[in-house]
Amino acid sequence: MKCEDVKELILTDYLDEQLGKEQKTQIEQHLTTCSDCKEYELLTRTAVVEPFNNLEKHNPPEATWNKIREQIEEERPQYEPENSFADLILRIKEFLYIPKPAFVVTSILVLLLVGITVITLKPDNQKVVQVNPESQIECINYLMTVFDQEGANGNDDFGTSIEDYFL
Amino acid sequence: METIDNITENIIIEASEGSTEAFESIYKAYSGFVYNVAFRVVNNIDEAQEVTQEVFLTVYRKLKSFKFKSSLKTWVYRIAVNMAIDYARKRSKEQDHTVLYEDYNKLSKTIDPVGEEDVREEQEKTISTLLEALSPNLKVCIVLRSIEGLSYQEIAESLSININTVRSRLKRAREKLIALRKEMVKNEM
Repeated sequence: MKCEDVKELILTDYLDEQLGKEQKTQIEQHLTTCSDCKEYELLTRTAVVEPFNNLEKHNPPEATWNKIREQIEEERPQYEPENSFADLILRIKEFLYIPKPAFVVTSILVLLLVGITVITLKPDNQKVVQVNPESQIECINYLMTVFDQEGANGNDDFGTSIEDYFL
Repeated sequence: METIDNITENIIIEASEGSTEAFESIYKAYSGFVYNVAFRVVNNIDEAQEVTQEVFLTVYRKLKSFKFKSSLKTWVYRIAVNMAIDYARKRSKEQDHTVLYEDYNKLSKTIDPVGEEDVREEQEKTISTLLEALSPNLKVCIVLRSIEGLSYQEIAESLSININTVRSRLKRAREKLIALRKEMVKNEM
């Protein structure tokens, strides 16, 4: 193992005891033979490990929790989960709840089905009326002769009293 | 019911629904860690309290969106660490670190540690000076490893970084600390 690699491991995994057994033994063997690396290990321990040993732990003062509690009580959801009307509504909603994607897919399927049914099915109660073109011509000819006769007679009135008054 | 660091899933759900008692259990479980990390990273008691408060209010507000994919501990740690780094970054822009080191020099020359209290005070000052010499990113790695004793994996998860990045940050931080410590020892003599 090169001294450079050993020093790098001393700074990290070796001092932090993150090495596997095999690698740890390799470094320890190197340290017994290399005085430079051994010195580096001692320096590192003194400079960056020992100062942090048995450091006093601090706890937040009671006032910190009191401030947090006050704030969260202000922000707390307004409904009371037990025995309330809001809770009942919420439970009904949960019971009837259909996930959004499922609801959308179902709606699209239903619309598609209805659309296809309307387009493909011919309603039975609607008969197609077939008109004979000859009878249509006869009818028009008859109406025209009636109008012609009335026009020839000059008999345009219907014989009502109001017509008598104006004409 | 599954338990996460003595915090059951029920406690998390109750807290997310607004139960103060349930949220207090979460606070009790993690406030020590959050406060210590904040204190070491921002190096100021008032700001550490402020960070702790902000962290737990964020946890409370986001608890409804907690997906149980990671442990609550990792989730809280991540929020705490990010918030502490943000505070430290804001402060480091306003503060000159050389002043702190000069203060340390004056203090270390006037204090001659005799009692346990003095030794502790001396140690606190040394730690404060060492940590202040590091950037927030390097500092938080040292705090999580050397003070809080987190494994490399836990540090990586808390900071959302690769485990090798944790290694390289620890290496860079310790190289800086060694250089500074040498200077401190030289000045003390």
